[in-house]
Amino acid sequence: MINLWNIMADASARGNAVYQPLRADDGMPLCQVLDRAERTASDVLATLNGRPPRRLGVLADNGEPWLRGALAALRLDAAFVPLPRAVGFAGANAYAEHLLRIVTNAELDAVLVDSTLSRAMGARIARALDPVPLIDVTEPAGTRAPASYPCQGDDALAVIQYTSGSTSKPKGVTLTHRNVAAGLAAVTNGLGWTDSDAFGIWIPLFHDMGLFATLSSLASGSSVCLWRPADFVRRPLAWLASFAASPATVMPAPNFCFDLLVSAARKEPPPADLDLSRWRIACNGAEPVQRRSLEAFAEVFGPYGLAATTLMPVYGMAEATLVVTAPEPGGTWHSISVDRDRLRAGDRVASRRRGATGAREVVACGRAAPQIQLRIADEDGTLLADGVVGEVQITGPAVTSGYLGLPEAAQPFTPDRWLRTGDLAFLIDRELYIVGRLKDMITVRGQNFYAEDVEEIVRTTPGIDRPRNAAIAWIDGADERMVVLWETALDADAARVLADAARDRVRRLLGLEAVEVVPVPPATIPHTTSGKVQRQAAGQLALDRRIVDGRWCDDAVALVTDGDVR
Amino acid sequence: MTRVPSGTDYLAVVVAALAAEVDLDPSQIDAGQELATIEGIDSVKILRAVVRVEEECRIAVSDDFLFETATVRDLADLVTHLVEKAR
Repeated sequence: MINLWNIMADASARGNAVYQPLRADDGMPLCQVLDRAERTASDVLATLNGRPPRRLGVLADNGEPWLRGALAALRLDAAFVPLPRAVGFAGANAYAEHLLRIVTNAELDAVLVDSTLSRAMGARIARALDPVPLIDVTEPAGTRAPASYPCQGDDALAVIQYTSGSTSKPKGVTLTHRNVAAGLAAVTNGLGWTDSDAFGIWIPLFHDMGLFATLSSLASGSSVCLWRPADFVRRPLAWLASFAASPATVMPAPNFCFDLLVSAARKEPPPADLDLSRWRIACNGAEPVQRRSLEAFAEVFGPYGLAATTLMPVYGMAEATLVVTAPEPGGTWHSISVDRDRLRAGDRVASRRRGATGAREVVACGRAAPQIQLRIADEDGTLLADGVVGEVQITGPAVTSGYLGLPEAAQPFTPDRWLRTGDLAFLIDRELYIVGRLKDMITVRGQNFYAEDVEEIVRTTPGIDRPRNAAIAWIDGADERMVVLWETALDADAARVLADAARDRVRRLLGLEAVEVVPVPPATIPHTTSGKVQRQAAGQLALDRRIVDGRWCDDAVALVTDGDVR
Repeated sequence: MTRVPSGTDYLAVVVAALAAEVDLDPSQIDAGQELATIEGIDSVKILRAVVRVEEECRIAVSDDFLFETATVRDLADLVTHLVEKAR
């Protein structure tokens, strides 16, 4: 039987440990974390009056209590559900409501928290989630382990990973013990893991990248180093020094983190004795990878010993437990320059001279990870040729069998049961190049934002005269953003004021900063006869017409601002 | 970094830190506006501005503060409160 608790117990015999370099001098051996997890499991049972839980939430900052809480759930044969911390949610009420939706959708029996949750925030959340109890697991209270051992595994749920950022319908990716075990092995095998490797993680443990990287390190018998997200964001260079002095050799993070380190180092050069030569791999994933970010990072940190082979653009998602594609370790990253107007589904990509007008740089994210089968296909699963843009579809033992509670018809699978990722890409020489999305979602700083949430907030902004709008996931070489076309009959100045108010509201309620609201004339947005907005068609219209400085342009203006006459 | 002398206008310190993060002139930031509505701001930049203020005023601002819907003035009031508490 494949069981994650047993996998961790076996791995702990190798003496691996959990380090928290900024908080403790010594690491805590995994076997000790497991002992403590057994005691925490007993505490949880006691709080629930002896009734074994089916699903437990975990809500804490990165640290041993987070990990121990997740392990305690596994020890009790329960699935654990990572809950997002409040970063990115502007406003405690919006955050509490979001948590409640997940807790309800996942049917949690309890939420494990620790002292990293402030007293005020804890009280607020407890009120919102009542009657689901919060259980403080900062330290194990009891001394005994539960009497019975885990007896489920294989196809039983181990983790339900929610895609973050949604205000309406939380989507829980269901992952079984078998899925996660395969996914953890794919991570370390794909990275050419050795006994001297260890993951260094400051990205949140509630995020799939942080969680599964941490677990894969431990499951392979290696140690892991944990920092908190605020350690990195507040003082990037101090974090980098701590990382360089730690046992960690591999760090995954979204693209913006590399930019943050670069800008910090350009403002204030790191000390000359900073030594990055032990940093074997920096996985850049969870949001679109930018060539300029990779170049700048290599330029700024090369003099500190960073190897040219360290930067590794990767592509992954919770639906595949984590990794989908990664380059061969030890190689150097590369990108190609293509015509940005030929990146729609079904287009054959055309190369363009780097830097030419209309050229877009696309970074290669490597080949399919071990045990992942990948294809570029249309929605029926019909294969597309190399160099033709289509949807990324995957299958394999690490891939989810669906979202929690969704009817079969709404599950994202092709007729032959391959997972439809909703991402648009093409393959050249089996290497994956991501160029956009079919799904109505963007990822900013590793967090997902959904078009329907943005549309609802714009629609309900006070003063909005017409309800029809369309939020479009926009990727054009630079960062991802959401562009909302909003139909209005107001004059230009009044429309601008309202559009800004709607934009500010999205920022406040959703925590999404990369958003633009563009007033358009009535009857502009394509819709079905039943009135349902056609986002893909609206997106195409927006691409064709161009938007300049937040204004809807007529074709004449677009020609001029595009830089050349087509 | 030198310590901010007593009698300091902490609103000005906060505004200057925010303005520096988003490359705006301090006059373009209004004390009454919510932090999230500052042009060019995002959660990382707010946190970085808070670090500037912390270092300048030698205080520690809890991350929890940023989860509340706060105005520039709210942040300045909190900083003033923390500085006075530290004296």
